[in-house]
Amino acid sequence: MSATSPALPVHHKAKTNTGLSNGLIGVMCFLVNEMALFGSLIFMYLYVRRAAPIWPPVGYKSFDWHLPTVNTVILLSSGVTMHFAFQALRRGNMRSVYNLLILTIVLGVIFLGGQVYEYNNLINNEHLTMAVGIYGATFFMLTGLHGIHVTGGVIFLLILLFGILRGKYTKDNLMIPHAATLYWHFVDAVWVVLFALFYLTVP
Amino acid sequence: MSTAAVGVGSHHDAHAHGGSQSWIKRNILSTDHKVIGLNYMYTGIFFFIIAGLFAEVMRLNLAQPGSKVVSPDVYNQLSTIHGSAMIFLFTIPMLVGGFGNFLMPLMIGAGDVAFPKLNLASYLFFPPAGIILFAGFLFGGAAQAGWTSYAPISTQTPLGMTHDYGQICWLLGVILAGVSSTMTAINFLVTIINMRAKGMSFHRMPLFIWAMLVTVILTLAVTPALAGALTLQLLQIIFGIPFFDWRKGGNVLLWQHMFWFYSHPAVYIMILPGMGIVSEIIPIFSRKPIFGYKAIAYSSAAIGLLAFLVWAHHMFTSGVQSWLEIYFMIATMIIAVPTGIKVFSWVATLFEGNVVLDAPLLFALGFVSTFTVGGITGIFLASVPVDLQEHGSYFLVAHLHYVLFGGSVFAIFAGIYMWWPKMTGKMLNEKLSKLHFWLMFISFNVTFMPMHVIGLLGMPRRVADYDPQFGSWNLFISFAAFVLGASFLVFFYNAAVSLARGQKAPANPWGGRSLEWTVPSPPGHGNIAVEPYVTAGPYEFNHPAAWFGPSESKSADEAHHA
Repeated sequence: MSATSPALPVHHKAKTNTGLSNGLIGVMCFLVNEMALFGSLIFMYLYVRRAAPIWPPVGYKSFDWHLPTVNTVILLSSGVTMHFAFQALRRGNMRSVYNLLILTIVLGVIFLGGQVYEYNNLINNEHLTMAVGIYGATFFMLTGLHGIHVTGGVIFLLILLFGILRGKYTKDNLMIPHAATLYWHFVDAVWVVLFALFYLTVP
Repeated sequence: MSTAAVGVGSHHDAHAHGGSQSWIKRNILSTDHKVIGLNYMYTGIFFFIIAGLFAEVMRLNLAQPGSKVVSPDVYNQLSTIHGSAMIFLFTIPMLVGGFGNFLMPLMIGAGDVAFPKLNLASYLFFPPAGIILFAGFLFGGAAQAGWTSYAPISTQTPLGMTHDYGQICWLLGVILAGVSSTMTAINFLVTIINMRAKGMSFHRMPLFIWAMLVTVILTLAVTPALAGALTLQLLQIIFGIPFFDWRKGGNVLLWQHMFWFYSHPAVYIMILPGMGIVSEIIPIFSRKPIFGYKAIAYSSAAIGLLAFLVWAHHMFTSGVQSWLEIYFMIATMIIAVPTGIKVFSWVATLFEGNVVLDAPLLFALGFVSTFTVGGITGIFLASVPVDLQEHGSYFLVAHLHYVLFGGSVFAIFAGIYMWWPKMTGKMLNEKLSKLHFWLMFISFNVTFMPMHVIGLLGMPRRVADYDPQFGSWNLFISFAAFVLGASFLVFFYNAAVSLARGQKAPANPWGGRSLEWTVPSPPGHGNIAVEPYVTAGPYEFNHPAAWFGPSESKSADEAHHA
């Protein structure tokens, strides 16, 4: 019971049953909750897709995968930079922390820019909106919810960056940085699933 | 109260103790889990009274055929809000927010929950959720689609209205209630995993804590499905986004799948804490260790697992493929196994025990007996051919009330009678408590048992009017329902007298040995003055509850058990 996983750092000196801080376990619980939210909406998408005679429905064409593929590479790269930013913070290598964290934020913003470009193209050139039919409704619902999560993640990382600049988060106070890292990886992982569902598996 | 009180892992860093704070800060904006728990209970009971009065109006309307008291529209609104309020504003907040908050940190020997401010926030979401749910009555009529809110009935705009504001209020209210219970679930899960007293391994946790652990895991995993479904319906009603509109490729059955993926586990969210309460009461009032501790604990976990796998048994009449029907029928019937393990364990605990028939045990026995009847009619309804026949009839109303009233409400009152001395520091009048039990138990059965019969005879549910041949049955049921409602007056009178001039309660009036009985009644801020070291399971009556002293002085033998 008191065994601490060597992979996870102990943030607090408080005596907890698991050795992990309450905050970190709380964040993990929150992410389980978020997984269930995306899971239920992915179920929604798969359910209407399976119930439809053909997919995409008559009158729609499948989404162009070129830009989203670039976007996927960008978001996954940001996951790598985030990982190394957190590792650098654990070692106290502050110069790397700033560089890698800023790089992560920039990559996140580029991803969002790509998504805005894609939405703009779909709405104005292909006249695909949520209200027209279930094809647009499911697409914008899921990718939009993910986009909101990325936006929240970028804001979270900015707050983290300013906190680190002010010396609030150091290698002795890793709870919030660790939470941000887990959240960012979660957002990455969700995107991989959405990318597969909307771009790779549609004929 | 000692200012030197130190709770295990408590977060008492900054806030001041004592009477220097304003009334609101001490009683409403307090982050103390006991205050929050009691506030959940007061608020829950308030909604229980209103939703109960709605039920009495419905019974008045049904006493004679012809829907003479309210119009059918109003009847639909009353029945929708009665069901929704009882489930989302009474049973779940009462059991998880109320009993969970008050008891869980005390029982595991913690000073408070893991995140006291989050706990307060989750309570503050709850009264607005209720007010918004009821606010529909002010905007041209509350929701009418039933507590299940099936599309397409729920997504249609009523005649003569521009928007279905009642339905919008319903959706927003339930979303807020869901946000509240999700925050509570995260808080409790972290607290149970991380903040148990020294020596309290998982197998030394009281069974109420086991039940609460499974409950909060279920809440965490399934509430998002409801939140998702509610959001989709809200987007469809307000912006016309066609998730449940078949004309634009949506699917009405999608709502039912998402709704029941939450609402079936929600049944267990409403019953597992009740089973936990009963598991605490029965050994204390039988003066015997509980029979099958691990069997009861693991059957809670088994019920939690099965909860995810059976949701479509609510949808047999909606059209599910036949191979899926057979799967859901068998999976549903398997739930009788872990439930039966619990019931047999409780009976075995009572067997040859030194049974003391005080009010808490009476209510617990009321729970076991009526819940078992509800479980048996559940097996009827799990069987596809029977369900196709009875799903739309009063048989289902009877089943539901045997499970949720005979189960959850009896457990809630068992818990209130059990921990009233701990919560208020006053004793209740035992004679009035017993009077309440017998009035409630008899009138409950007289109200709902005949509903099985009129259901089998073919009376449809959820309608304001009915065939005159059921007239005398319904008159009889309505009279019983009024007695059932009146039985709660005995409780409110008893409670008022107890609070005003009740006998002072000792720390351990019933002779329990879990940790909440080791602190004064009511417990002070911070709960425990000395860190406990738990040395045995919670039902071993020949052991002391825990070692209270400097933890270094514990013997090597006790340290070995940790």
